[in-house]
Amino acid sequence: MPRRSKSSGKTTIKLPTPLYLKVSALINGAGYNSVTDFVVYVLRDLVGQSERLGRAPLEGELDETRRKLKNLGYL
Amino acid sequence: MTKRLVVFSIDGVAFTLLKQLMDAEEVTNFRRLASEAQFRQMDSVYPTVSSVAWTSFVTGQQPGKHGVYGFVERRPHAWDVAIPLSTSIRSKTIWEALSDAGKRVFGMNVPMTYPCRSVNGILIGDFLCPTVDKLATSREVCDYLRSVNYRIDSDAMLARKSPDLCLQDVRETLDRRMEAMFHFLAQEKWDYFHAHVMETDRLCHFLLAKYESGDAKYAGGFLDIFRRLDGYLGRLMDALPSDSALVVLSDHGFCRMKAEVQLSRYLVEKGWTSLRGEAAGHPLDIDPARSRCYSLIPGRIYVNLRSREPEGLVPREDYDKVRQAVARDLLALRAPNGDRVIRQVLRREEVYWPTGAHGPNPGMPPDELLAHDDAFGAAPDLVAVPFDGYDLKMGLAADHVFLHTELEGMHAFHDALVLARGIELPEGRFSIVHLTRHVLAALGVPPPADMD
Repeated sequence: MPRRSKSSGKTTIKLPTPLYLKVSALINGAGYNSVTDFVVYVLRDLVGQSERLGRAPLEGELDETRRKLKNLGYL
Repeated sequence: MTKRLVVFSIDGVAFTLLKQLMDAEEVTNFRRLASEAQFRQMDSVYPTVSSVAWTSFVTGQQPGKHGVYGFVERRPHAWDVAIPLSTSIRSKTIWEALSDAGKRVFGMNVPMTYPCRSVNGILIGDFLCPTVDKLATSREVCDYLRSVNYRIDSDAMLARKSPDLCLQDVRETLDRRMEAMFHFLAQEKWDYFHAHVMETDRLCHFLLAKYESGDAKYAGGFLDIFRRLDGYLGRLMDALPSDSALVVLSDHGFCRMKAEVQLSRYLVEKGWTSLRGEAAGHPLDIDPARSRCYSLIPGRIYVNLRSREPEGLVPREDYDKVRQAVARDLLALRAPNGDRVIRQVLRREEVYWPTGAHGPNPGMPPDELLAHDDAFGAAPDLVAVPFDGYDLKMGLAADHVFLHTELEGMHAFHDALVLARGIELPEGRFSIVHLTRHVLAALGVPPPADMD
């Protein structure tokens, strides 16, 4: 069971160490304060999307959208 | 209380222009509707752009609550831009509020609806959707749209190539969209039906000056699109049951373009923003170690704030000092002919959480909000509002601040319109944000508690 702290309103989860190290290397220099911050950001994004349905498109799926916005002068 | 309600939205159609066309009896169905409805001028939102304005209408909220501030956004924790979609909207939409109340809803082509969220009915996405097969969650709906050669949008590249291509493309796109609209109007069960025309915005962007100057070759073509639209409105009015309310509205007006203003380039010239290299790969390709501010279209200014931005430079205690200084520089910007370019510079707290509206997190001190509240953190720190004619763009690595392209028209804040039959409108001057609760009221549905 995850460990919960009532005072901080946060719950501790465990990641496999190799995964933790990989994520840590991945976010180095990207502006995140910690692996925890990154994981919270990713999970919030994921949960937000699934709650609203409407699957968010992948980055490569938006090339045509970028083209339209560029032609309209927004990019 | 009405049983059913239709919203027919016409992007970017100015109150002033439509009034002129009505007075000249060029658009007799709009005139007919005005004779039995309220016809009012209204304000848009800041920044005055369709993604923000329509999100404000469908949520009934200021951008400070729904979280959409433009067609491009900062990518969190990185120096790059992202494209906000419906997944960026933090609040419940009118379709969702009505679905919760057991109403059957329909929406088509309303900006910021792609990817379509779950509702009791059908949503068809907007021009940000890349392909027709992704426009709706229902395969059947997508198949129908493909069968009638539905067009997601007219092509701005064609419009940049030639006015003739622009007119032909806008006309054909409008015809295809209206065919689909009348199909769903007749075939679907609905209590709330919202169909959106984007073509009017595209037309005004590329041909407004030609129309207003009476261009011998193209003014007639511009007018012909409005006559065509008027014909579709007449058909819509005739098709509606007598107990249906009808709301026609636009999200902003239009005015003639004097110049596009490369605001990021201006911030580089004034020493607020520094490029990372010689050429910018994207609008935020800046050197954060030497940039105290940066800009996103249109007129959004962000302070490179320490602890909020990746590699933030400006300490919290200098936040207001920097905002005041960059605002002074923005207000000092002059066009080559000596015109002032920026009418006013608004601080985020006065435009997105005005007195009387609910703040994002009323109990939290402002400097904590800056760092910890998602909605507050995403808002631009300043919004530059231009004088009519000066369209604020980005142009980080542009050669000049002022530029002339094929674009002839730009958005105007004060000249949106609403024509409403069967619903009450707000008293006095109002904004598109304030219409939504009146639409819900007409259908007997109470507004969500956080609606403005």
